[in-house]
Amino acid sequence: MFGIPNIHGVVEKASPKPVKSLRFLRFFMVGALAAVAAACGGNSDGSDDTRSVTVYTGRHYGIEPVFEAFTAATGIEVRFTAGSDPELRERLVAEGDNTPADLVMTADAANVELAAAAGLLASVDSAKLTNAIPEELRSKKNEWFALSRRLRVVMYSTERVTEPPTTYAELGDEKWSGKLCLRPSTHPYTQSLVASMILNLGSDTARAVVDSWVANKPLYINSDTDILKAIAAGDCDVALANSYYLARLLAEEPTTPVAISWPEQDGSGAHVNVSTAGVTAAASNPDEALELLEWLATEGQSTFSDANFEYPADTNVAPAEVLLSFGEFRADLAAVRELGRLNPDAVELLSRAGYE
Amino acid sequence: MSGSAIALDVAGLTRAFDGRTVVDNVDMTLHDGEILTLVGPSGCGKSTLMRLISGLEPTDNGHVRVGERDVTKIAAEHRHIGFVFQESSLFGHLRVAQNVAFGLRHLPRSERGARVEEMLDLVQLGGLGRRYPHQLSGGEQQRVALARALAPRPRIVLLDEPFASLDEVLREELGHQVVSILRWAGTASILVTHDRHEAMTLGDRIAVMHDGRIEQCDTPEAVYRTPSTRFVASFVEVASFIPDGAGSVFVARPHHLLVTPGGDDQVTRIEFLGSGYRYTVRRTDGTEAVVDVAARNNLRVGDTCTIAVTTRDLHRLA
Amino acid sequence: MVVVAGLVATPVAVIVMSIVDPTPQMWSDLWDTRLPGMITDTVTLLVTVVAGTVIVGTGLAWLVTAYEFPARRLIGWLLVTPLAVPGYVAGFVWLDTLSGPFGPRGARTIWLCAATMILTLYPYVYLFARASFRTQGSDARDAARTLGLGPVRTFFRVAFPLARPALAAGGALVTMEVLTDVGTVRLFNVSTVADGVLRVWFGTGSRDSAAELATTLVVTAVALVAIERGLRRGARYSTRATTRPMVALPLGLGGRAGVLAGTLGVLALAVGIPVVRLVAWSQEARRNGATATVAGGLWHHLSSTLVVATLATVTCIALGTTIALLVRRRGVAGRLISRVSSLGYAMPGPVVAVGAVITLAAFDRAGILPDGSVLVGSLVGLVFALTVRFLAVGLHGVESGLDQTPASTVASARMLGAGPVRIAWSVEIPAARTAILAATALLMIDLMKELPITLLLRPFGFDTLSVWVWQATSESLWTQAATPSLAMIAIGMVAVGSLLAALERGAEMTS
Repeated sequence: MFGIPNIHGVVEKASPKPVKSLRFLRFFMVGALAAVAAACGGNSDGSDDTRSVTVYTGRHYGIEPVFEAFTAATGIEVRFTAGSDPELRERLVAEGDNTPADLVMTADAANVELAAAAGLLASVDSAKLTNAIPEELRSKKNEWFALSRRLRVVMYSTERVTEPPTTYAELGDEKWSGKLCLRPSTHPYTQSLVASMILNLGSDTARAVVDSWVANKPLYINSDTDILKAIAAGDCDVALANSYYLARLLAEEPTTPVAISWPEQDGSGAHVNVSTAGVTAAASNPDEALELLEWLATEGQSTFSDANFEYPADTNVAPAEVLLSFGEFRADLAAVRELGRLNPDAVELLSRAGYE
Repeated sequence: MSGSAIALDVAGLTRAFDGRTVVDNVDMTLHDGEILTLVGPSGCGKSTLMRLISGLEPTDNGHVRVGERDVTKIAAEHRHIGFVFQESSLFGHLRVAQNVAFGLRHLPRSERGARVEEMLDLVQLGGLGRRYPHQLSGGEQQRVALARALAPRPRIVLLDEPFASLDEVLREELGHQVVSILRWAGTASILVTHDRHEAMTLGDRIAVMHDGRIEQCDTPEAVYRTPSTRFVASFVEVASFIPDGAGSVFVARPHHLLVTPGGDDQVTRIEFLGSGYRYTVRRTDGTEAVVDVAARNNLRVGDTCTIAVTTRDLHRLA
Repeated sequence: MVVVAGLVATPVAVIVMSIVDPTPQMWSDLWDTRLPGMITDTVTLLVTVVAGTVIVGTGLAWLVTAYEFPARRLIGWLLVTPLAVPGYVAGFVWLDTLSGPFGPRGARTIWLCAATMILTLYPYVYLFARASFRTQGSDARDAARTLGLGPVRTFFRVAFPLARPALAAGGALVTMEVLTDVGTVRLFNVSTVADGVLRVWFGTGSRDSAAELATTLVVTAVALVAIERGLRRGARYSTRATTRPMVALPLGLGGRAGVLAGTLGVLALAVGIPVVRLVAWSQEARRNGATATVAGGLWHHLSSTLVVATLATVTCIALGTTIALLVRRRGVAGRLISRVSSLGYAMPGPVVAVGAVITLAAFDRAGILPDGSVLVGSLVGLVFALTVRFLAVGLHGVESGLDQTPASTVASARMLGAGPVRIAWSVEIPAARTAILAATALLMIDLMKELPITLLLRPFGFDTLSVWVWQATSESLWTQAATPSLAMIAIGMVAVGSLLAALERGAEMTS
């Protein structure tokens, strides 16, 4: 025996009671087999009559009403599987040409770049898309397109902080020692931010900045919402978080004493990440996938972005009203396409700096 | 018994483990209706011999014939040999009747019920068919085990120390019950025991086993009166070995001897037997003799004494 | 049979294969940065949790078997229920609860992570210890009393050593759970080697490197468990079943109060408080209208969970029984098959998930299924992956039951003419019934809690309760995670109840 212990120590003696329990087991098994027979084998494409598109999405919050709106507008059914980006990517790689996925959606740029690099995405030729989405927010080969922008910015306590940091580096100032909240390095948001810093500042300076953050003994919390709540509760004064988390929080509790300080406005602009989508290379319904993609990039922009308080990728589309209160800002669009390439470097930098 | 057909014929059975020979070239014959007790000290190989005959273990050498059938190469489940184990081996999840019916697959359904009833009556447990094993006493369980083994009407049945897990009083009672059941059924059987009393009283013949060999296989009287080896002689009852002056020894039982005060031998132990006294005496040649006397004499432990033989009728060992 | 075992081992093999092409760079990078810390954290966590579960589990088992107090039987049952609470649920509830008094910084420590794990894992040790005390405690305890040892010393000098084999067994299970956990540790910012596997994989995108680390983890797990098994073997012959079952001693008023306080306290921490908080949250969620995911409401998720868990349980039991029977007949080869089939249990869920995806996809490329059906994303594929992961539980549960059948019972069936199949079906399996039922219950519990494999491989239309919880917690929406968590705990309670019923039935019949 491998060593996994058995029930031996637990079951004291074989019970001589009648076979009723065994009958129950058999009934169990018959029912189960019936279910298996019914469900044997997935389908690589949807039903024959209605048009449908299958989506693998790592961005799973607020996505359902978007798909419903699409179906209402076009009659195309959407089947989707939500999961975590890297795992879905592994699945796509493993499935190869057999994949049922027509469209891939991710919650950030690095993951979609990795998918593209793995040859999982198809290059699409669509004027609609290139017109709607700015060049910096789509891949050079038109394999993926951003659908919304999410900014990782400095958050601060309105009650205790009068001069919030205006750059990412300032978070490393000594005055913030013990008062800084950060998301752990396991999360793509942190990795992407550091990747953009490597691009804009060079590895050495970026490393110095991260070192200074670490020196401030940050409180690592694996949830942006909890980070903001920590600021409100007084456990830290400044932090990094995604803009939409604050918007969500304010929608629930309008009096939350936390505000955004747009960083790098005199420099490269606030770090921006994107929700993206791309048609898979092995799609069985490429036309429907393209239609969904185009819809998301045009008519669907508001539905898509507003659901999660994000900024539409199409800068001509107005963001949700709530976001207007955050004010105007400059975003670091230029870095977006490089985030994937620099992700491994960011991960290594974070490790070496001792960032948790 | 001789005159009836041969139920079991075993020749040259040998089995060795890790270099140790556990069963050493054993021959044995059993006639229909005969009850043979197989007896010997722990570790002498009797259980292994049973397993070889039944097919639960393969033999290194020799053959096993049940009736006219050579079953040496046949798997245990096809040998049609009954077996009763020492520990209760009833199927706890089945009722008594179902246990007994277990080996009756070959019978048409309609006949099975009748056979089960017949067997349960035979072991005097009629009417308990619907009980579960755990609701029976140890003795009752072993009787069910016997009924179960006999139900398919095997040519022979092997019983491996079936009473060992029961207490003393029960053991004797059950022993006689089982033998009468076996006689009634007419099935040839081998009953294994380490208890010499059981062996002597229960069987038509007794086979004494020692270090993997059967030293003697004969009627109880013959084994008692004319043992063929020292081991057999001592095994069936306490024996003293008196040199015959010609290189061999006489076998003397305690009641064949006398002890008188004065002499070259020494009393080393005195035990009260109830019916008399037993003196253990060390002789000049270093051997021990055991003497039973009815009345106490004045000898004490440590006293010198002399042994005398009271009869000429002693058996001389070969 | 060999084919089946090989099939089950393939996903594991796929992962292990990567070791053939090692990436030394990854190792030196890791070693410079996180690996020492991860190893330290893993060891600390492991030692703390194992020690904690052993002490808590044994102590509770002793109290419940050796002493009489009000509601003893009921409490004895209830103390098993924390098994029904998934670790990641207890994790986020406690994290949130402890952030209050300890502050967010104070709550995210390895010690509180260990405490949470102890609370959900001690039942494994408790069950084994309790069984051991019941059958063997009486003589030893009485001997201690004649020597004048008070209750506490009796426990440490007598009960503890007596239960060593049982503790080793429970401890090995706990070790597996700790080494492969990725959900709970992440919540508390504890980075164990299992977490490291995910970091390497997601961070560098290099599955091979991650797989190497995973393989190292498996090897370590196997080694540790082998050591514990060695400890267990030494103790095996030193204990004998007594003819007298343990009789509970009465306690004075103070004693009774103390024991009640202790046992109920543990229950409150392990089950009471989490359930109370979850109920509060779920009501808040209902007020906010968040009672379902788009996939469906509670019923949809519940039925998905039950279908998946049942199918996988049945498969594991059926397969486990077949392999266990084979092991008994084939000696060394059988044991090898048994061990190989069990490897999935030593790997973290996400790793098995990926291994399974790769295996299934390879079959799909070979065109096994007709007309465009694929295994990846099918129910069969999901059940396959779950079986790879949890076969060990079914296998060893059945094995233990079969081991308890005396050889003479099987031999007597042979002498009555039964061939191997009939013996297995009519004698061995029924005799092992209680153990099989117990294993079934444990499997149901494990499977309904399972997350990473289900998340990755579930078919369309199968959204389980665990997936719902994940969707909510990955966005820190604790209130939305409450309802599915409570549903999972409810199912778990039913399974625990069946488990205990099966065990009780086995125990009652000891005459």
